[in-house]
Amino acid sequence: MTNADRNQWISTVVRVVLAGIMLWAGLAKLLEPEQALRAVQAYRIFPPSIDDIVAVGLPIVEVAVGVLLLLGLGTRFAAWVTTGLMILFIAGVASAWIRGLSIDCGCFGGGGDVPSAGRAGRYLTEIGRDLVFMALAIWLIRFPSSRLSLDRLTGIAVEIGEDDNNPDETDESS
Amino acid sequence: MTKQDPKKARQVATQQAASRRTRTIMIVAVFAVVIIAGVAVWAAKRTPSNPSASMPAGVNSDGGVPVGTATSPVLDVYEDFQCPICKGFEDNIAPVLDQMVEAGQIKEIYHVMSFLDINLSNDSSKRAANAAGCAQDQGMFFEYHNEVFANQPATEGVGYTDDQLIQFAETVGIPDMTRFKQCVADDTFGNWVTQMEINSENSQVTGTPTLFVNGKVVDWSQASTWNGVLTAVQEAITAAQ
Repeated sequence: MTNADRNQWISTVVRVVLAGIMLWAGLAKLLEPEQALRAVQAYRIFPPSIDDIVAVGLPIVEVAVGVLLLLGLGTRFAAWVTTGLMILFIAGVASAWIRGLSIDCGCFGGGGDVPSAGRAGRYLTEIGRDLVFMALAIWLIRFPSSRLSLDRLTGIAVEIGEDDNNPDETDESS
Repeated sequence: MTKQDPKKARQVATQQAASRRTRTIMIVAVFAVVIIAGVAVWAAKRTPSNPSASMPAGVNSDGGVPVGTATSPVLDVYEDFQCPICKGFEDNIAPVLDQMVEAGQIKEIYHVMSFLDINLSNDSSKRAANAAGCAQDQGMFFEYHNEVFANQPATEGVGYTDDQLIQFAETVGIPDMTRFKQCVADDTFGNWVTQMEINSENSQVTGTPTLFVNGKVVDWSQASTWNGVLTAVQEAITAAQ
C-alpha cells in the first residue's frame, strides 16, 4: 500500500465522519425550527429579520455540505465551506462568551439561554469541538481525493496538479 | 500521464474540463435539492402542533402575562425580579396601578425579563421568572409576582434560592404545591423565559422597569421622585384614555 493509497483511505474515513457531523448538525436544526430560531436569537448578534434567515439558511448549508462530503463530490470545496463555517461558529461562541451571555451554542439542536453555572467549561468544550472538526476539514483540503467518491468516479481526482494525493507526485512504495 | 504527445494532452485537457463542468453541475444540483427540501421541511415544522406546550397557561401568544379585564388602555410592564428599581416601582407605583386594574380602568401585561443574570453572574432572574411562570400556570402569576418583589433581598445580587421561590408559593397559597415544586425543579418554562427576554430586547427594552402605555414608552427620565414617576405614568394613561 502506497502513502497515496493510505491517505486516500484516511480521507474517505474523514470525509464520512465529517459528513455525519454536518448532517446531524443541520438536520437537528431543520427539524426543530422554533428551537433553532431561539438558538440564533440567543446570540443577540442579528436583528430579528436576519435571525429568521440564519435559522433556516445555516442548517440548509450544513446539510448540503454534509451531502457533498458523503458523496465525495467537490470534496475540497465542501471542506473549505466547512472550515469557513467553523471559523464563524468559533467567532459566535467567543463573542457570546466575551459579552457575558450564558447560552447553549445550539450546535446540534437545542440552544438558547441557559444557567450560567459551568459557563467557561461549556464554551471551551464547544470551541474545542469546532477546532477538531476544522482540523478534519483542513485534512480534506490538503488531501481531497478519496476512495468511494464521486470526485474519483468523474475522474477529477486524478488530474495532475489538482490533488496532493496524486500518485504521480507522491507515489512511494512502502 | 507522463510524457504525452501534444494531441493526446489536448484530449486529456478537454476531458478534464468536461468532468470539471459535470462536477460543478452536480454540486449545484445537490445545493438546489437540499435548499428545496430544507425549506419544505422547515415550513412544515415551523408551526409546532402545540405552541402553548412550553408556555404557562393563559399567557398571550407572545408570552406576555395579561392581568385585568379591561381592554384599553394597555400597560406593558417590563421587569426583572432582581432589579432593585423594579422593587421601588412595585412599592410606590404598582399599588395605584393595581387599583386601576381592579376597577377595570386599565389592562396590564407583564413581561418578565432575565438580563440581570448576566450582570450579577447568577441565574436567579431566570429561576424566579420560571417560578412566576409556574404560578401563572396555576392562575396566580400576579399574587406570586408581588410576593417575590416584596421579598427581594436588600443587597442586589444575593438572588433567590429554590427554597425561597417555593416558600413564596406557599405564602400566596398556590393550590397544587407538588406540581409547583416539580415545575421549579424542572425549569418547565425555561424556554418561555428565554423567549420573553428576547422579545423584550426586540421591543427595544434595554432596562427595567420599562412601561408602555398603548405601545408608547412612558418617559419618566425627568422625574426625580417616585411621585414624579407616578405623575408621568398617570398623565400617559390619561392621554391614552
